[in-house]
Amino acid sequence: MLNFVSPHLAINYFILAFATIVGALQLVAARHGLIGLTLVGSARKPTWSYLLAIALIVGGFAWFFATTPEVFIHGLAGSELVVLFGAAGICALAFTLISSSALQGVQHQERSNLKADDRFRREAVSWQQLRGTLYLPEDTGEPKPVICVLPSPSGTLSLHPIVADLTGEGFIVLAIDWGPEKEIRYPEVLGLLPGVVAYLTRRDEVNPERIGVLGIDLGGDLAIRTAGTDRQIAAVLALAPFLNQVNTKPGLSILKETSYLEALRWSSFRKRGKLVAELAALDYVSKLGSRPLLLIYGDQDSITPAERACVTLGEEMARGRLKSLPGEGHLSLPRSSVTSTLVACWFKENL
Amino acid sequence: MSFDLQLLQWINNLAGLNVFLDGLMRLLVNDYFLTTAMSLILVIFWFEGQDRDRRERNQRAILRAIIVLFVANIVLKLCNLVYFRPRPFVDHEVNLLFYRPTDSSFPSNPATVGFSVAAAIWLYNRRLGALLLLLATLFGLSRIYCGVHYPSDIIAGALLGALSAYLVVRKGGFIDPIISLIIRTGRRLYLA
Repeated sequence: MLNFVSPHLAINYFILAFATIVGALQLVAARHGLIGLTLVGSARKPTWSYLLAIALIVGGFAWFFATTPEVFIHGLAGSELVVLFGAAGICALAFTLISSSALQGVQHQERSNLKADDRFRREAVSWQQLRGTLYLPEDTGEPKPVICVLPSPSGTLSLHPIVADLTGEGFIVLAIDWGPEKEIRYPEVLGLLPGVVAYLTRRDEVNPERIGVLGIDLGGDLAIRTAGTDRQIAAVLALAPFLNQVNTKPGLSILKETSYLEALRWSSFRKRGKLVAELAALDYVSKLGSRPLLLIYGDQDSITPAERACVTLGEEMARGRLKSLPGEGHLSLPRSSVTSTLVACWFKENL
Repeated sequence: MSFDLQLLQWINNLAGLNVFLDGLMRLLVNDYFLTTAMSLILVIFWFEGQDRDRRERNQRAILRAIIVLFVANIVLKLCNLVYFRPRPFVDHEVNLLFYRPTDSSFPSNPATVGFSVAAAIWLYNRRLGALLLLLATLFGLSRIYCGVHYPSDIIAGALLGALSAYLVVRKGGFIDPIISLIIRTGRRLYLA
């Protein structure tokens, strides 16, 4: 049976363990750039995290020994220490992950608010199985090229900068809604883009000869796979496609890019790994023939690292088709203004 | 007089000569400072490693160290059941800088705990293992300095910890599936 001897000692030890473990996690966040664990500032500028870590660890011990005279009399045994340290560890981890997520959420909200504008008209689309939003640039009376955007199915990645830049360049943009996860199945999912193309060719403002696809995350894999067999798709750009099932299980690395709660949201789409394997996008890259294809990865991408993509694709295939953007990760890539400018320029040149 | 007692007196007679050294030993000898410090080092080590494979190796080392700790403690309790050795302050005049523990002096519980974890980590990572072995040695030395253990208690505790570590790490392959399951679960939760 556990005997905590003195409630004061037990509570103080719990607080010591809690504070020092939070401090240790800040040290880890600063050392490895783990945004998902950091409680102060940015994980890429770790000075504040180091200072907080030192303050919590040194301060925690100083406070404990200054306020707990029971330390030097008969106290807690090993089993009680293990229980208290374990409980404090769970609480410290939960506190760090939740607080860090809240902090990242506030920062992300601030960034999103800055970007809001209404340079384009939007129209909800609902046709047969297709659901999505159509973004229309200013009407010039001529048919326009169109970009179908396949976002990440977990819906965590904002499309705002990309849509704004593409419509700004005169493209019609159709952002496709994947629908509920239970309805996304292979091979039925292969009918998604052909359905979109059929819908778009019925519209007068669309130039059916100039249909491009932009896929993000798993959307990139589906874009490559579908374009491999559908000749109506004239150009494909994929942002951080997986190409390989191994990439769909990032583990701790995802916390380098995002908060814990956003990581959980990203992984809430459970079929990702299975669909990547079934789509086998890599096998369809060569089937695109001479049609333009570009794969963009962030050089800080910890889920689908660019160098791994280069190895997966093979040097020959990757030449001219693979671009690495400095400073961007898997989840930040579609939100970046650099990416959206690059995407818009590339489609302007190739579609 | 036995060598064990001579060594105890030689180290313990340093107590009271220097206020700073006494203060340092009081900090090291209690059950909270070094145990918590070593645990924090393991928490940090859990996240070490540039890629998934290196991290997994570290995490396996930590999980094995925890198992080693439990095994060593069970053996220690068994030893205490069959053999009781009074503390040095019971039979001899020593400079006592700590409270009077009532449990058996042999083998040393803190030395067993410290050396079992340190040796288990040392078998995976020499540099971190050496740091932990240094901390465990300081833990043991402080117990002699403060008059609550004979040197032979510490040596026996260190051997017990190291032997447990060797057996669990080198011969305990049967626990690998449990360790793999914990790491897989941690990865699914983005914590490994």
